[in-house]
Amino acid sequence: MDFKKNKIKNIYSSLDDQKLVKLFRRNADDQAFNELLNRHQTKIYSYIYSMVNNPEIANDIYQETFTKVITKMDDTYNEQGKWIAWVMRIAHNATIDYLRKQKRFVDVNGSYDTESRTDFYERLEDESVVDADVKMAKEETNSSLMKHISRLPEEQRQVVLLRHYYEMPFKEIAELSNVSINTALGRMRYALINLRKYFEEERQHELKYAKG
Amino acid sequence: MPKDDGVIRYLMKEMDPSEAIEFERCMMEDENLLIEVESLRKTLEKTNQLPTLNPPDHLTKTITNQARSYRLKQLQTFRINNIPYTHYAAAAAVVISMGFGFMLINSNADGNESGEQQSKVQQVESAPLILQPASNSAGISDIADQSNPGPWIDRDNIIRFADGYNSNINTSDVYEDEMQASMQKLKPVVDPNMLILSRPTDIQYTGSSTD
Repeated sequence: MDFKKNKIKNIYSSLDDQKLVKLFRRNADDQAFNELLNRHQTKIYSYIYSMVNNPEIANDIYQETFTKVITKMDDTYNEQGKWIAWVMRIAHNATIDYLRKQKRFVDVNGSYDTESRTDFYERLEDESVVDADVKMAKEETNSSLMKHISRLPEEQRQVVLLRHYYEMPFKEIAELSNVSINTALGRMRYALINLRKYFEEERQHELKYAKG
Repeated sequence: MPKDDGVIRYLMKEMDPSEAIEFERCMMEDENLLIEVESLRKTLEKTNQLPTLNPPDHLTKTITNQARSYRLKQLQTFRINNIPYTHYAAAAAVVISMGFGFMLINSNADGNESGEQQSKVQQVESAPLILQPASNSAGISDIADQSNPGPWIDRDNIIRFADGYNSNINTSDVYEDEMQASMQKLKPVVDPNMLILSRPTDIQYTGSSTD
C-alpha cells in the first residue's frame, strides 16, 4: 500500500508545473495541486511573511492568495506561462495591497510604530497572544537579519525579497513593480547599502554593550 | 567608470560575459569600486541567510480542500455547459417529432369536424324547408354557373317556424295559418336557365316574384 502511494507520489513529483496544472484543471486532481503547493509554498509564504512580519497577517494573505489562485485559474492563468510566476504575482499584489491599506490606516490613526511597522492595537494583541506560531514568529522576527530587512523601505524590501525567494530577474521585478529596470537595480543597490549600514550599527552597538 | 547599477548587475550575475570582463577590468583600475563591490557582496551574502518558512499545516489543508471542492464544482458546471452536440440533435429531433405528431392529431380532429359539418349540411339539404334563392335573375344565373350549387337556406324562416311549432304544437291555428300563407307564396321556378342545372328533376320553389 505504502509502496503504491510512494510510486504515485514519485510520478507527480516527476511532472513539471505545467502538467500538474493541467491535471488539476481538467480532472480536479487534488494530488497534482498538492504537489504544486508542496513545491512552492515555502517560497511564497516566506516572501509574504518577510514582507509583513506578522504570522497571522501572513497566514491571511497566504490564504487570500490561494483563494484567488483557485478561483481565477480559469480566467486569468494562461497555461503557456509559468504557474509560479503567476501565483507569485498574486501573492505580491495581495501583500502590497495589505501594506497600502495599513499605510492609509496609519495616516488616520497616528499610532503606527515605524520601528516595528505595526499599529498600537496590533502590538497589544501580539503581546497577549501566546500561540506557538506567534512565539515562533517572534523568534524569527528577532533575528537580526529579519529585523534589518523589516527596517528597509517597502520598495527596497520588496526587491530584495523578490530576488531572494523567487530568484526573479530584474526585468521581471521591474515589470511587477511598474518601474524601469534601472529603478529596480537602484532600489536593490540602496537596499544593500542600507542593510550594510544597519549591520554596522548593530556591530557598533554590540561593541559598545560589550565594553560598557 | 561603470554606472551605479553596474555593481548590482555584476553582483547579481545579470551581465553579459563581455560586460563582466569589462567591469572586472574597471575594478582592477579603481580600488574604490573594488571595495564597494566586495562590501556589497558581503551584505548580499548575509541576505542569503533569510529564513524559509512553511505555512501552518491547517492552512495548507484548508487550501487543499478549498481547491478540490471548487474545482469539482467548476467541472460539473463545465460538463453541463458543454453537453455534446449529439445530445442537442437528439433533443431537437424529439421536439420536432412531438410537434409534428401534435399537428397530425390536430389535422385529424379538423377533418372530423369538417366531416361533421358536411353531414350536417347533407341533413339540411334533405330537410323539407330548403329553399333556393330566387330573388332575381342574376342570382339564378349565378346558380346556373355553378356545377354543384350549394343549398340556400332561409334560416330566419326555419327558426321562426320551429319556434312556432314547438310552442304551439296542435294548439293554435296561428301557426297553421301562417304556414299556409307562406306556402302559398311559393311557386315553381320558371326559368329556362334551370334546364342546365345538374338536377333538373328537382322541384324548386321561390318566395320572390320572377316576373
